Amino acid sequence: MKSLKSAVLSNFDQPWMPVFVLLLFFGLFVSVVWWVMRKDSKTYYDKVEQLPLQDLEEIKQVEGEQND
Amino acid sequence: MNTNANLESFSYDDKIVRMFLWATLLWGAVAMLVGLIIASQLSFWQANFGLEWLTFGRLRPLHTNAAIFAFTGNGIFAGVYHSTQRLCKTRMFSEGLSKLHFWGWNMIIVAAAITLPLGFSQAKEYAELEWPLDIGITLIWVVFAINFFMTLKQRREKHIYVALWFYISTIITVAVLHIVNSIEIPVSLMQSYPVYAGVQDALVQWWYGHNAVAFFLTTPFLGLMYYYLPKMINRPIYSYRLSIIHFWTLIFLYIWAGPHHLLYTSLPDWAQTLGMVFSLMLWAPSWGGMINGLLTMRGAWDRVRQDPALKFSVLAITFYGMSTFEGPLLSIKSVSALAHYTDWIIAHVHGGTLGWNYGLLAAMMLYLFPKLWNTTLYSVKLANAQFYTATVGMVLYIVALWAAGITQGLMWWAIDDGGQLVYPDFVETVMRIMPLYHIRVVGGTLVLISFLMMLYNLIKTAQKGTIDDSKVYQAPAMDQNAEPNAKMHRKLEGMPFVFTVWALIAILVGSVIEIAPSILSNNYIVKDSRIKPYTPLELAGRDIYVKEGCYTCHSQQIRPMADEALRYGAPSEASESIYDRPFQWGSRRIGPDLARIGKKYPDVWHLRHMMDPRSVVPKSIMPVYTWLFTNKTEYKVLTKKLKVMKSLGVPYTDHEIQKAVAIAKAQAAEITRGLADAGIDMKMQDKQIIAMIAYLQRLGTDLMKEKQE
Repeated sequence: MKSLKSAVLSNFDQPWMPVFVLLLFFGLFVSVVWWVMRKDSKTYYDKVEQLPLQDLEEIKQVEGEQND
Repeated sequence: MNTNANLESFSYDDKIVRMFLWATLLWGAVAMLVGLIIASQLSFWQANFGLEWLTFGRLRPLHTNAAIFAFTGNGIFAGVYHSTQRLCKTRMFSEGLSKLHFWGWNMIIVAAAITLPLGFSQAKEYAELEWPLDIGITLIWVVFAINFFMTLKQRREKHIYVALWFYISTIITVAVLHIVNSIEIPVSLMQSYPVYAGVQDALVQWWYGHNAVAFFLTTPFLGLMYYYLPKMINRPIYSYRLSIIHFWTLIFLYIWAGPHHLLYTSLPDWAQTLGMVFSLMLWAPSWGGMINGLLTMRGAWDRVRQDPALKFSVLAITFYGMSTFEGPLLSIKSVSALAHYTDWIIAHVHGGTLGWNYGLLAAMMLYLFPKLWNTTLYSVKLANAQFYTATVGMVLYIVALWAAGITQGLMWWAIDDGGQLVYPDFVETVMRIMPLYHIRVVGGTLVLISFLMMLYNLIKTAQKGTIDDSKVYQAPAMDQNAEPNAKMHRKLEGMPFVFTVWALIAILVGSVIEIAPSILSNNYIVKDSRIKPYTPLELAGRDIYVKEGCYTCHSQQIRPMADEALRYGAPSEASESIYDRPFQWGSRRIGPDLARIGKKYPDVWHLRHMMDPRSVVPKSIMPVYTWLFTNKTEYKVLTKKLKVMKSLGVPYTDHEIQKAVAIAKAQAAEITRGLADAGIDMKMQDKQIIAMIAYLQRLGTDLMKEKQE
């Protein structure tokens, strides 16, 4: 176990690792931004941003009426 | 007719929302009152009335826990239970779980309000509660999580609105933080030692502590903002796209920022730098949220004049922007060098908790009470008066402490041409800021008064309104096939469980990279053979130090700076705290650092200092600790304590463990004999003061020994 552990930890000295991770995370960020900003998503976001404003109408229960 | 056939009838559970709202009001008043008491104690040291249960050290944890978990906690739950039902077009999953959540959470708070003044504390900031309560918190949090996620599952609206994402990230991250930081081994019913020690404990604690701010005081509140702000002005948020981007970046970045609480300490440099850089990056998503909030107001600013709830919304978002600008600023190492350990930090957190959290909860409550009681606000005038009283109070509080922090920080720094400290007496720097402490008390009083105004206003609102829980609503069942061709995030937005896993991954990345090396690597800290475990009596003394909350005013961590070397001695090294469970580095120097206090003064100095601090430091603001002279040291439990310590890796021998009580009593007798000249009777040897002296005289002395290798 110990040799495995030290083998893993020795990788922390690899200079390409932080660079790779930096590029990975930055790439992830750029793709999220690109994805969110796509033109065809506008209609969808226009719809969902209304969600908190859509209060349901209260239903006045009439005696004997069934709701199912 | 076809569409009508799909309609399902349901009602909302608003009773649970009202219960959480009342609890919010009650605990908010308590938290602010306790805050005012401890603020007064810094102005007038007598303000604990000589009672051990009311000292600053014991009440400060009560104040922070009450403000965070009782006041904002109940406020969050009220908002979450109200908005989640509306956004999901469904009733909460289980009324039983909702009630269990409410009563369980509030019982824990009551238990905290009893145990903390009694001194049952783990001395880790915002995580002081002892292990039985830690388990209780975990169970209740699981109840909340089940109730929330099952509600999401039975929702009648496909899309999970952004507010709910923030709630999801809150629920999973708080669970991870609380469990990891609370891993501890019980010694007795109300005492435990953490599995982490020294640097590792500090790292885990501030990863937790900072993210308590992030995932208890920020993400749920952003969720509340994203729901209630559009409701109040009846228009959608400025940019839904921005909310997606700032959500993911915020939760990903926040989790890394903890080490900014440990800049210039003996935490490895790479971890400090990581914490600082990520804190700086946080500025962007934080302001993304603030800008999204403020721009939502565009075209509706005129309504701020009439609506006190909107006034508080704008105040809250503005303070959020201010605090999240100040936070990254304070995380820059050279700024931290001045600000750390000073009142600047206290000013910063109150900008957040008062401006942002109290502000947003006030807005939410002023909006919700009339809604839930089917009436109008009792008095708009009173609410406006509350707004101005609160704002003036906050500004007084924050500006006074900014000035106090910078003044004291600069005085600590000051070195004259001869290379000597300009203010060698620590108490001199305290005296200089006393007027600002008085102003703080005035500011805090105004904030408390404003809160009581709201309390009265809302009670009156509820009294004139009526409760109607018989309202029935209809919505079509969710159609799983509504969007067969939906793309990735679109689908993700409709899949709460997958979404949760991604959010969990986002917060675990930073956590693992930062914390794992401290647990896995044998080279994380440089060991020093001179550092030895505490003797049994010193350990008993250390537990008294922990119990009294000494860390709330005294640090034990000397930073590598010229003025600190002159004032306190050589910089603290990581190896020095390897046996410290919990670590006691502290975060604020209301009094001087104690890392190298050992052997600096004779035993009798400490004896007099505890009995009456002003007999040795005339201007001291420390309370008297007379009960240390009457309360007995708990010797019997020492064997158990050493056993637990040994199980955690502290190298006590079996002989030491077996003879722990005898060894402790022998050391106590020796110390007491040395105090005979001061008129101390040998009867004093089993009193707490002797154990306390033993511990204090040990601090920092190991490195005075010759290096053996």
